[in-house]
Amino acid sequence: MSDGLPSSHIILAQSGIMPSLPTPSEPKPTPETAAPSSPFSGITPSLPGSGTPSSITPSLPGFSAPSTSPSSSPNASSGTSNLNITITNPDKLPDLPPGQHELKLVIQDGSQQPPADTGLGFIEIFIAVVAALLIAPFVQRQAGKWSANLNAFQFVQRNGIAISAYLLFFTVGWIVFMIVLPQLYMFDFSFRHNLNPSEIGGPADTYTLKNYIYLIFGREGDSDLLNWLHLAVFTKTIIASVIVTIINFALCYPLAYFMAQSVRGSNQRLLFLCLLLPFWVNEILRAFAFKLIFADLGLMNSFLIGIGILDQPYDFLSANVALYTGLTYAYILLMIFPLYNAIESLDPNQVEAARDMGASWIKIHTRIVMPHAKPGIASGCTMVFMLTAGALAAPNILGGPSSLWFTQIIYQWYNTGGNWPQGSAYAFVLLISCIIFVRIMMRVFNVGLGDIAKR
Amino acid sequence: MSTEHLRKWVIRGYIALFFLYLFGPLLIMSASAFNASSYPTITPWEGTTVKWFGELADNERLVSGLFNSIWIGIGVVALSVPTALAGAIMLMQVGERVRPIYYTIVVSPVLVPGVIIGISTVIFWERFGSIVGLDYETTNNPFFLTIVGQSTFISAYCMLVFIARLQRFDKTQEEAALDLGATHVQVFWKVLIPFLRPAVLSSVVLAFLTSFENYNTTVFTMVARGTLTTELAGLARFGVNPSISALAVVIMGLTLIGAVIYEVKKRREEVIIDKSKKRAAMKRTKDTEAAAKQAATVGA
Repeated sequence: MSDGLPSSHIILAQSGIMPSLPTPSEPKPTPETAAPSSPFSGITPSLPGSGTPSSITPSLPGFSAPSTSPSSSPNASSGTSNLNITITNPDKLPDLPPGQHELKLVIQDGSQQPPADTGLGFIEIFIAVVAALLIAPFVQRQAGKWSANLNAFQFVQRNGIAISAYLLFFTVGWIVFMIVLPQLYMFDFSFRHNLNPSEIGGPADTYTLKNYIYLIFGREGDSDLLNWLHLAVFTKTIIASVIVTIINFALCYPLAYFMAQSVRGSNQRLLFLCLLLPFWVNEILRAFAFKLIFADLGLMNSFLIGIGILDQPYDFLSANVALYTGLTYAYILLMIFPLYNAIESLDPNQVEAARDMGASWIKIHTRIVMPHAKPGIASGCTMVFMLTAGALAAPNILGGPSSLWFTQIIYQWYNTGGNWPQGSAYAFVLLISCIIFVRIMMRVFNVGLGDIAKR
Repeated sequence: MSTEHLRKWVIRGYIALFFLYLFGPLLIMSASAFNASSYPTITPWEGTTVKWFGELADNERLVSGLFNSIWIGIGVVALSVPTALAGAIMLMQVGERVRPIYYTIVVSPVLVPGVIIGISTVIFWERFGSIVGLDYETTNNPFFLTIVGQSTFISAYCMLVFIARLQRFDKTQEEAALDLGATHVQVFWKVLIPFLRPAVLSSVVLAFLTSFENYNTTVFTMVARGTLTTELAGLARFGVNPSISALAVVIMGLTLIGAVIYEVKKRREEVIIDKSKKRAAMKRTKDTEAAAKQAATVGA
């Protein structure tokens, strides 16, 4: 949404350890202004009792624990000085007499810091070169043997060097940097504290379960046992998505059956085009169209008042009528095409034979058509469910002011809430629920993932 | 006979209602763009006007969003079409044992909610960028993030298009070209790409349109900037000005023209394939008939 606040900057405003949901009215400093105006933002007091092993820092001046970590923050290299005061737990320093607290002042100056964030240093490259030279003779000796049975060599032989490089570069880049690693990073991030960028990689950057605990139990010290608000939204999102999926199936099945079994030729092509056209219209506009219909002064209220059913406008938006109708509409075509494709491959003679043998109308569908269309049903239902549960635009536009969709909470954590780890935890919960749903569908309908994704 | 008659009418009524549901909301929205009423509605009708279209051009955020959308669309096409092609060719070549795993991975972005793809892209580049020492400004550039984030799943869509076409590719063509001394690069550009041309065109259109109308991923990756779709969502949520209906008419008009061209082309291609299949099948039956005849005469 275009609220005008750069969400990548908001994270700075949060002092990391607080699990509270901040109000949107908090000042949001930008990274350029944040570091000089508040030089103490990097102070991490690790108090006795809460001391983790990482709080013992080597007392070499100018070489503190944060700087040895590879994931130093972008701020650290930009020349601003961060002051890190670490009060270590006396119990953990046996050399000192008991009771004597040691105050260590570790001044971490970015300009004196070794450039830890350039990734590959000279040493790494040197080691890599030496290793390559050591391995080379061995590889040369074995290459002949390997090339006969190694897929990699066959691959290059088959495609040529240039094409192999192209294929590998794009496929590996896609899988590693766009599919796998981002998900893993999000998973990792969901177990972290909400820290300032300057603290990332520092002693405070430890793993925690609190983001997940917050979803279930809410803030510490709340009177309620569970975080009812968010759990209720989550449950509502899942249940509503299931209901929307069922309604979609009920709406589409008859049409898909009719199209597959009775319509032929140019009629069919026209019908297809008509079904596809609304799908090409922007999702936002499709939702907005429903807002027009169900608004206070919209068509539905005018109509109902006009024929005398209602006296005054009914608030369809608050009652979520508009939301559920709009969601059903939004992904209806992802239901109809898999169903159509599956039913189309059914031999009409089977249906005719069953009818001749005296099977009832219901039996024909439950015993012949539906079992045959299983992959299509699984595919359609999965796609509709996933898209509905993951919808953000339609709930934003059509949802009532008091009702939330789970994705909206995730979005709030990112945008106005400024707590990305918390948002990641919520997003991960959504992802897991979707995966569970897909697994259930695959198990129930006995189909593979390939059948589901094919549209 | 009367039950058969009734059945027919029930089906017709059902289809009519279904299409009313599909098109009704869009028609109502389009109509409201021409209503003079200051609130987007068609009841009551306060006179026909086109003034809302004029207001569109004055909205700077929408205009800049439009240009952002176009640039991002071009970037997504440039990234996701080559990626999808590589992914599809790889699928044809990976070993039997690896194939299911590989397919699951590359197809999974289709099923992962767009919200999650957006979030994970932003987090990954923010953290990964600082680890390997990439420039902060680069890895947090909204255009970079949006293009990468959208390409994650648009590549998967396009890959499915390529796979469908590649499955009909005759490998012997490639082998023949290689035997005659063509290099691998020449085979790629002169044999494979011409064969895949329709699929490439489909993917380009699909990638651009999907990118253009994407909201769920873009809203996270664009950070403070906006594309036409995210600006539109802001207007649709808070705005009560009929100019959004006018914009809807414009966008719908353009997308529908694009979609009709795309669909018609696709259908035509399918018809050609069907015809060639039929011809091949007929030829086969003729051949077998001839062979059978020959066998019969030989036997006699």
